[in-house]
Amino acid sequence: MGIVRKIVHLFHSFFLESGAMVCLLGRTLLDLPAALRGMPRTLSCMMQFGFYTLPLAAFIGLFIGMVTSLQTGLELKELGLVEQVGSIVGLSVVQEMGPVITAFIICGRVGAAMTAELGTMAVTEEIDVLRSLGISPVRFLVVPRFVAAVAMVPILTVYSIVIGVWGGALVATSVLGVAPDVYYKRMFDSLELYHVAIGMSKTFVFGAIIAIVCCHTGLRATNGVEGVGKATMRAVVVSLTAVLISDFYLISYLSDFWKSLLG
Amino acid sequence: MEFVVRDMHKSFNGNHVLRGLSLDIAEGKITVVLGGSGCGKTVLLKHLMGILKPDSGSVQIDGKDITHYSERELLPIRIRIGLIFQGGALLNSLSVFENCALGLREHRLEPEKEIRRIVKEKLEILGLGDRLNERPANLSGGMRKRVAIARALTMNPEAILWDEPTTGIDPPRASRIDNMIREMSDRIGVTTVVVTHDLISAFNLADMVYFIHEGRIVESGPPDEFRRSTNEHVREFLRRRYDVGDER
Ligand SMILES: Nc1ncnc2c1ncn2[C@@H]1O[C@H](COP(=O)(O)OP(=O)(O)OP(=O)(O)O)[C@@H](O)[C@H]1O
Ligand SMILES: [Mg+2]
Repeated sequence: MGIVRKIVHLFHSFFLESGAMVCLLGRTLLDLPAALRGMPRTLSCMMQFGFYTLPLAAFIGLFIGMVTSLQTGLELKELGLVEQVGSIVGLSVVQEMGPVITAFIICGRVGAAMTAELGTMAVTEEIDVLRSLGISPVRFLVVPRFVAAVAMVPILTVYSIVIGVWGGALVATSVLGVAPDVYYKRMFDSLELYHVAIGMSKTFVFGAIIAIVCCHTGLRATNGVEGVGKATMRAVVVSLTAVLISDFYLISYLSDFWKSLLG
Repeated sequence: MEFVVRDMHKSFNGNHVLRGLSLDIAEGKITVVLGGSGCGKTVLLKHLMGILKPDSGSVQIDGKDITHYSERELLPIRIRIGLIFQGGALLNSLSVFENCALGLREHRLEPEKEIRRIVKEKLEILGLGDRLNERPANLSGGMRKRVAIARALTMNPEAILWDEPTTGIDPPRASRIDNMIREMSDRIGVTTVVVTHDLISAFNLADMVYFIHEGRIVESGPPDEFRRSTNEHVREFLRRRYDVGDER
């Protein structure tokens, strides 16, 4: 009995929460023109989320490329196909590793900060203050963060992909003994425009997911400081999961879409 | 503005706070709400602006039932009402000046130059003219409260809801704030609701007094009548509070 009730409760809150997030997305999109009026706020969010995450994105990107190159390179070497390493690094970093892992680090760094910030505002009545002044918290707080995330996730992804590809080349030349021009030639031979389109179009969705999940969870925080901590933890878990699940569906839909369009 | 609350119930996770509360707030008058700590006075004020929604019952403003209004529909009404939060509740990421200018700026009610003038003027009235660029975190509790008052005043509201305006503020300033409340009511006809524990200022200000006990209004009337109430909870409240007043 207890377990059944728990499971029912779990499903119930899952649907309630996801419904509320879709509502928040709708309201954010409706209020999007407000981002122009609140440009200074949007820019400062971009700065905070995007610019200061650049070093981390670069560092992570570098290692994604190096690890992918080393791992696949050593296997390929046994098969005598080590020259192909460039094409494998290119395909996996551009389509999958770059976008997803960049989204992950943004969840952890930017998403958590968003939830903690909005959560603190919620438990200290700052959100109620905004509402009492007739200011919509969605317009004032969520819209700038949403715009910043949707704009910055793709930029950070490009950045970490470029560095990742370069990191892969570094390993290919120094460890695997593949000449740089061979590495890049194989990469650009196998990479089609639609691969890039698939990888990049995902990042906009990831940005939107992170912003909506983290803002929603922050705005709903209750129970003081402890509640903010819990909300932050939940926001990171939920947004990571949502990014992964959406990635699965996006791969199947987007690859058909972009292949028919560009392939 | 005229508020009518009817049979309002509100509970938070099983904690039944308001249990069929009804009261009327007359336009242009000062209504004082008394009640023990934790009896739901702050909760009541938040319902008057639609910040909280009742589980049942209704809130009417100027004859319109706002109980089921959406956030969007509530915005224009809220602009006309000022709520001064109990703890001040300033936005910590903004300076004192920006906090006070927030409403005017967001709604583009005045040009920027005019906003600067209005905000400075209000802050000077409250004795904070030299703290414009301070962060709220660096202010004392009483200062924060005064900034919150200035913030509400900049919007020139038709109704002001004061949540314990004088608690945490020194006696001379508290009486100045009382005078300010009185003056705004007399001169501009602002509809005023004051939630307080400070009986001296309550009886000085009130046109009408309500007393909340266990989520309901158990006594109401003009101050003179209220003072002679025979309700045991009111008697106890008045007695105990006067004791505290003597200690001060
Ligand atoms: N957001 C909330 N979530 C859960 N419970 C709440 C919330 N707001 C208020 N309460 C509860 O409602 C009750 C009334 O709180 P309220 O703040 O209205 O008291 P109050 O009359 O203003 O007291 P005080 O004079 O001390 O300010 C309290 O028991 C409080 O725990
Ligand atoms: Mg209170």
